[in-house]
Amino acid sequence: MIRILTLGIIALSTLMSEEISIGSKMPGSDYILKNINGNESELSTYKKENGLLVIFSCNTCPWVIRWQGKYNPISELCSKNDIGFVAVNSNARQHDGVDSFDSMKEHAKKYKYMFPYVLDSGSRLAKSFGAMVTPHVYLFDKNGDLRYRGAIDDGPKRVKRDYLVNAISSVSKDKSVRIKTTKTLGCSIKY
Amino acid sequence: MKNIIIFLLILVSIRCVSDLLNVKVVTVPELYNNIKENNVSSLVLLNIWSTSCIPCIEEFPYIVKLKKKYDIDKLDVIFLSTDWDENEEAVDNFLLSQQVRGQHYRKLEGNTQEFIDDICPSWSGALPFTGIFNKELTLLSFWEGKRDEKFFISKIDSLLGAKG
Repeated sequence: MIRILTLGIIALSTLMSEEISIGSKMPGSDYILKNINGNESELSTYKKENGLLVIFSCNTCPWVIRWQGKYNPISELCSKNDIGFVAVNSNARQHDGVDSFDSMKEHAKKYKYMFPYVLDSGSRLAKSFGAMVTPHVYLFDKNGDLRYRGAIDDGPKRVKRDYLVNAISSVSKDKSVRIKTTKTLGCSIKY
Repeated sequence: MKNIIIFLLILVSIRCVSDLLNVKVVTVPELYNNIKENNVSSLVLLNIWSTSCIPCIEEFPYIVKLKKKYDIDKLDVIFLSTDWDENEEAVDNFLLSQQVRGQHYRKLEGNTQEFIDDICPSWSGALPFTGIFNKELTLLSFWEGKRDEKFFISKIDSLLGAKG
């Protein structure tokens, strides 16, 4: 019986851990995403010379709100390092409610977003990434290979490890990222 | 007469202690040690939640009901809040409002990565998280996200059945 339970846990673990691994090519690069500015374009169009940072986000998650103040500085850092930045709302189950396109526009206005905020219809992109939680970041390099995924930092209070900032610095210099994957608590993506 | 009064006072104080809510701030090893020391149940359901997580709040009443549905020798229900220190009072108030009493826990701030991996390496970090453990605190089953009452009961019954 213990063997059956163990197999069950392994099977469930497999289902829950289909997140893209470090070194993977950027999935869904041809998916059309609707930006709050009205443009509809493929994910790949947001990539710049040195790569692309994709952050799964939303309008209401307390953890997103908690890290919200970091979004603009990180987008500026990406811009300085010729790395694209796009925030993706994949909460399909809430796209008729708190995560609607109009609510996304209001949210971006409220927090003075300086970067594209796009709607992932049907959570297609999140599913292709295996993304489960907001806020969660995926940093791809100039070749479109995943170099870092996980938390923005180990905060929100008393930040000791600035995971993403360090990863951006390494990727922009084409150096190895020291901490490649991290985890953080957050809201589940509402597929 | 004096003895009767003392006896009644003891009874009242025992009742008061079991009616108290105590929320202890812990790391995962401390949590497991605390549960092991006090556990008398075949299964332990650990629900990890936060006052700011709406799905957590929505499924909370179902989980509270489980404690009443199952005898303590079969199932114990433990809540572990991931709220930050500033929400300490909100955690207590919410638990009290849900008629939760006894020993429950709140995550020690910081080391979130370690916390997640110590609970379950396959957990993405999304809340709510529920795990069901056996008496030795081996994780038997776990899931992320909100579930309904039927799901909880079916999972517990199947694990209790499996234990024979």
